[in-house]
Amino acid sequence: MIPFEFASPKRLQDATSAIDHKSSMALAGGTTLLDLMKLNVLTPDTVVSVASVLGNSVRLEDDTLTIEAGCTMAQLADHERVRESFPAIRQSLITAASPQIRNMATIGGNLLQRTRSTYFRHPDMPPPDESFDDSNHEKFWHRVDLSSAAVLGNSGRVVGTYPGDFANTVVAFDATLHLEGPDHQRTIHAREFYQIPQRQELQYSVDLKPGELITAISFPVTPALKNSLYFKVRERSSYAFALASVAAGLELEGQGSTATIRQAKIAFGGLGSIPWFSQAAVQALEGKPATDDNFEKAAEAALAEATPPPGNEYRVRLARRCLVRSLRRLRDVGPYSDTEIWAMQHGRTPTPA
Amino acid sequence: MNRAPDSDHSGGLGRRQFLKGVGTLAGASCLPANASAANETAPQEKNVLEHPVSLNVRINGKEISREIDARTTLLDLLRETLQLTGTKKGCDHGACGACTVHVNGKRVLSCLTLAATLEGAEVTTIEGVSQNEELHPLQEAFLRCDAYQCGYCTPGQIMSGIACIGEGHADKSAEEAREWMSGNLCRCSAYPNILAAVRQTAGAEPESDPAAHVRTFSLAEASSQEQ
Repeated sequence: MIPFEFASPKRLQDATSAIDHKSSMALAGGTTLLDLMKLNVLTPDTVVSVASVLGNSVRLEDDTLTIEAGCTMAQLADHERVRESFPAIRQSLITAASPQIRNMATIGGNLLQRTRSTYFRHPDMPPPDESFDDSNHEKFWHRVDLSSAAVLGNSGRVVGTYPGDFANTVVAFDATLHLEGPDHQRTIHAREFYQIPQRQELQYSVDLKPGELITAISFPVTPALKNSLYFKVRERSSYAFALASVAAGLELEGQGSTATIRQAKIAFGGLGSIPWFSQAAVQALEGKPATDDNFEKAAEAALAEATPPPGNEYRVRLARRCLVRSLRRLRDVGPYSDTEIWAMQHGRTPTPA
Repeated sequence: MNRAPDSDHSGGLGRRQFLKGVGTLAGASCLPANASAANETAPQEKNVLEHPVSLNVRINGKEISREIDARTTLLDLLRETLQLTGTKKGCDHGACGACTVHVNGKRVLSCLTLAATLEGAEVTTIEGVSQNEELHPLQEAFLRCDAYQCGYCTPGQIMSGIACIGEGHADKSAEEAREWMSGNLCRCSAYPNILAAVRQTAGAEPESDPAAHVRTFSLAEASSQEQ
């Protein structure tokens, strides 16, 4: 690592006024920042420790679940109310990273983690400026592993995927981020916070100004959040990033395939350059009967704009199947239990709890 | 159990001391292995602690106060400054779990923990889990179950396993224990035996050597089976 100055302010205001997110960066759990500093991908002059000035409480009041940004992934996943009532939140945390990392990583930092593509983690690689849509002649892109390149929101270029899981639940269920600067506070919908890469950018950017920190995140509690799940497919059973994943919630009126979908919440992970809220899927589902046919149509609509890089066409099909399977499960049985998730991941038939 | 203390090399130059010597010669651009032992006139000394941070931390019950470089990770503090080399450096990027230790009772990755963030914290490493010569029950179980081959991931597996048992993830289904031990990779793939050691210690399985249940055929038996 390149030498840096370490600051550990006692008050949030001192922290925010010291951070510009460029030469002076915030350190919370450290699981992304230190990793990238060791690679010299990020080279801040000053590292400001913020874990002790951020709150870490989780509160449920008036149909709003508010999580302070210093709360760890493990702490949120194990919170009694989250465990009981909000399956998509819990599952997008416990299927991410490892128990050790979840004990360290904070919710605020988790929302801001950078792409994990091995290509973009190399500081000396030139930015890819060519489009990959012309497949008639072979290019560099045809010979490298692009399984962590985005297939949605990539403008036909090779850009990194947003790697996280929890943020997909965040955009699916329309959570709000609370930001605080040295002399102001503001809120922003998570769906507007993430911006797809522009021009030469290799990965997403966020609407976070110099001096601002995420201090909390709040979820509106809806029936769909209670009838929800997070379904994740990866190259190995555990401790891996998603090839495709779905955060889904359904509020149904009636039973089985004759039920009407009152509200649908859908986002994809592992595919987009940003956590991918699917307005197209929501529109294809809401107000319609919960039939397999409508689920298939929603999956088609959700992936209609996909532009997979060479060799990644399979991830589009994988994503469609993930969505249809998730919706059927929510309609026919309801959320997965922890026992089922672990059994599913490790390739065994679930034993009845 | 016989355990040779790391530092006790009565005759000749021990492997660890030899490596330490090589490090001093080759490590002009590295952090000093032991700041207090470094020669005052050594030219690199001034540049190295460019951004010093003072740290007070309890490691395995012992109060430690040190002036450290801001870049020092907990893993490097343990291995390079304190010579607690039981904790292993695998990937150094949070992808393997070999460096797992406990901070304030929770399992974390020491390679991604800046030591400077640990003011006042309580750290437990593999060196701190046994009581004098009495091994921790999970250490005993690793021996009984042959839960390693090369042994490099073992300290991390044991630290993670102790936490996993404490969290209550090791005494239910095998799938649950597998999932909650998945942050520790083993390139020798001793996973079935690691899982057995962790579940036996949690009381989910009777204490036994997993290999004892493996049926081995003699040549005569194998031949008669084929007919």
